[in-house]
Amino acid sequence: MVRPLAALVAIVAATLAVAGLTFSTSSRDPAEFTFVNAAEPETLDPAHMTGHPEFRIAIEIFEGLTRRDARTLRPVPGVAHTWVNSDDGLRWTFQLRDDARWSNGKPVTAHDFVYSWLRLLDPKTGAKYAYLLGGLRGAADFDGDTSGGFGIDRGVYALDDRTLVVELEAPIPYFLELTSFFSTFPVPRESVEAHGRGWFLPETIVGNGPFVLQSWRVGDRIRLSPNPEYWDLDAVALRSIDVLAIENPTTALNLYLTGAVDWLPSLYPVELADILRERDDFYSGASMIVYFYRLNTTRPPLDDPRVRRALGLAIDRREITEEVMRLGQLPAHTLVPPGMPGYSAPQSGFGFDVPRAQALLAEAGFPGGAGMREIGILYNTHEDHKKIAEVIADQLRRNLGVHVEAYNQEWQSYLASVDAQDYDIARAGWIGDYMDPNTFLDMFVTDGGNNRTGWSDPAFDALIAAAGNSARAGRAPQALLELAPEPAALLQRLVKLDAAGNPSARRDALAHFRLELLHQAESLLVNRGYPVIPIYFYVSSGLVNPSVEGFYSELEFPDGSSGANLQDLHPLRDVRMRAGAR
Amino acid sequence: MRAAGPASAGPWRQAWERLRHSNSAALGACLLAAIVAACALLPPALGLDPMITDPAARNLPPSVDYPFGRDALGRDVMARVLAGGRTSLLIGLAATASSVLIGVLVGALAGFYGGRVDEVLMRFVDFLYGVPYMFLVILVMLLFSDTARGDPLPVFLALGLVQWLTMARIVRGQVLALRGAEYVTAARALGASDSAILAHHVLPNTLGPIIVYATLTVPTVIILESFLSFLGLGVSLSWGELVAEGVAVINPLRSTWWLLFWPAGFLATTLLALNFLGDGLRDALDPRGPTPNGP
Repeated sequence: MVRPLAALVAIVAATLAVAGLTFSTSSRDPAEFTFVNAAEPETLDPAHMTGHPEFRIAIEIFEGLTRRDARTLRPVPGVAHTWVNSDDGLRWTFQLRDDARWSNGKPVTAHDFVYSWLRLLDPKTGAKYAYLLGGLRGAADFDGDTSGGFGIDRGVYALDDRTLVVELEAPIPYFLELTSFFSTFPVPRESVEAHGRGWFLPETIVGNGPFVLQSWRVGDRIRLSPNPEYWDLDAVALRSIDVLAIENPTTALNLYLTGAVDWLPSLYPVELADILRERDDFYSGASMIVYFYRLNTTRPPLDDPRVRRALGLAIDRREITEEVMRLGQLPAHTLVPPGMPGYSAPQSGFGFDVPRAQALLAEAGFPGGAGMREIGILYNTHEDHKKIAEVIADQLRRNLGVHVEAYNQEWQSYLASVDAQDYDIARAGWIGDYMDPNTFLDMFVTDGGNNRTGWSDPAFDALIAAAGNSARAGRAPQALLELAPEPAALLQRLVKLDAAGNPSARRDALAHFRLELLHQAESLLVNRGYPVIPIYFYVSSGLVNPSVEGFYSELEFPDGSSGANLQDLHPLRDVRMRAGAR
Repeated sequence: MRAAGPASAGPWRQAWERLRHSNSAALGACLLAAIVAACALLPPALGLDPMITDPAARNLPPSVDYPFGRDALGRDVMARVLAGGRTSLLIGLAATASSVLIGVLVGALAGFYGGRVDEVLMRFVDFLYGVPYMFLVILVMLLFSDTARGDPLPVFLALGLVQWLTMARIVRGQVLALRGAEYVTAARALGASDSAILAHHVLPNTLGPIIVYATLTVPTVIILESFLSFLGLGVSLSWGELVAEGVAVINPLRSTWWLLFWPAGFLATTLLALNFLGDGLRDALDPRGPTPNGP
């Protein structure tokens, strides 16, 4: 007979042993380099991702035709080792390197790029960023039908396994930058077709970047390890990277201060900005990022542009930049951040003007806010967004008498709500994908994947289209003449210049004309349509462990000059930890 | 001959006497009354507004003008704590009320009719017991709120819907015991209807345990709501949310302790007071408990 006490002791001991084993296997060694990524990535499929947290991982596990040099952020050879652009700027020919391989050992070929790009463009894929390749020849009417074989009638095709040809409708000044942007990264056809939407999970993902996805514990961390098949494996120094999904700034800061995290991009309690900025390991600099609110223009009362403008006029942005954020952020009344070469921002209809806002609101039928329903401000879970939303809610309440409620959702739900236009006002940030005003504007074309406001203006669409086709401005849509007389006048001048036939004068005029079109387009956003309310231009900032080498918070160019890391982008391929750091 | 002394007074009077002489219950009642009065009366009396921001006057420690200090956006912490108290107490009461309503109904039906009714209702209760309550609460909140916003209604509904389970079991047990009592049999013999027997003879005699359990449910609900708010799922501007905000500013570089101290202090005091009061009530309503000037 078993004694009850002995049996009990045995059961308890067995339970503890199992629990101990479970917990000891679930904890693991820290990675060599750990950073906080602010949110759990929505996806790791380059065609479907839209956010910066996803971008940070995508550049490590995939590689485009070009990649960004960490020191300059300029495109340098990636999968392609050389490329040629034709004299008319319409045809790009990329030579792919022989030793570029997927993490399963198979070669990365030009056909992979053709497949991936057509997949991005295919309406059935539903990629938000499909418009990014809209300038390819034949892209506009591409219906996803590739039955006739990939290509030659489209703007992207493979001459052979190692030669990729891209043909454009019109020269795109920033095209090379697009080839190192995540949407144009190659995806592994076999894996995508075999595993469907979940192909990017650790069990089935195949990548071609310097690192591979080793494991993904949702809500905790993503572990990256070097890709043994990577063509430039010798350059990869880090043996492992942990990407933490943490949304709480205090948790993130504590992890950094205790040495558990090596890089903390922008996620720290904003009240501590004054203490943190005194530290040697703190960096901050100008950025090409705008913080703005999307307005759902399909929902009353926000379907009235007067109401939208009134809300934007009643926000005191200076209070937010100087008293809440306090790192030198600039109040934004327009969408395109300052510093775009050759580009001047339009006058904005959004300057801080409370009487004007009240008058507009009264005109729209809500004098003193009376009769207007409660408006919700949706933000993704983040202390800063919460603070800003609460200050703005209070400003709108005090200045306009409008009832505003701020509420949050975590990143994935937030993206889903904004995509479905299930919001009144939604916080947004936009990082320039390339160094051109177009990246901040073309998303607002009618039904654009990143528009998400329901706003539509044919004149705006025409201006964006014309800017994309400026080389063939002579056949810009007739509609533009009626919709936007000013750029149309420019166009007349251009046609005359063209006739005069001075090539360099024509090129300059073209570039100028293109920026002028974009200027007019932005003017429609902030003077006529008001689908968004710009709040401020970001300062990119963060904390980085001093023993990290190859991390450039300030860019260093070959000519000795330096510049701000405008996109707040830090490729980790060349990052290494100074010896004895840990 | 008239019976002498309070020993012969009705059971309710006896209970009141016992309650009155319990120090902890009296302390709990006083604390609770003070907090409820402060939350209800002070904001309108002092013109406190928890939403007015003034970022230029952020993170000021407690002072004469702002006895609880100001938060990261320059809002008055006292105004926020009192407004949060209103929300938390209201949710505690509303959710408890809905749990009493459902719990008593289900428990009484199951206990009184027994048999198949009892079987079905109690297995349903067992089933709900088996489901993790947090999961249930979140599910109910998703069902009832189409916007996932900080509206209080879905939260208290959800909390009420999971809190009635224990209440139903308690009431069922009591009713089951009373069903066979002689006076119930007598009432039935006199032709009283089921509903009359339940309403006039059975339920009044289960009131003691119901009151006690309800008193203890209020703090449970408040802490549950705080927990939800702490996770970012609850109601906006409740003690739970304020505590969550307060915890967020505790860090090794500079802590604004007053953002955590006040809401946490009020929350803890309220829970303590309610538990004291509940304990006192349980002792007072226990029919086997000592009579105040008993033998």
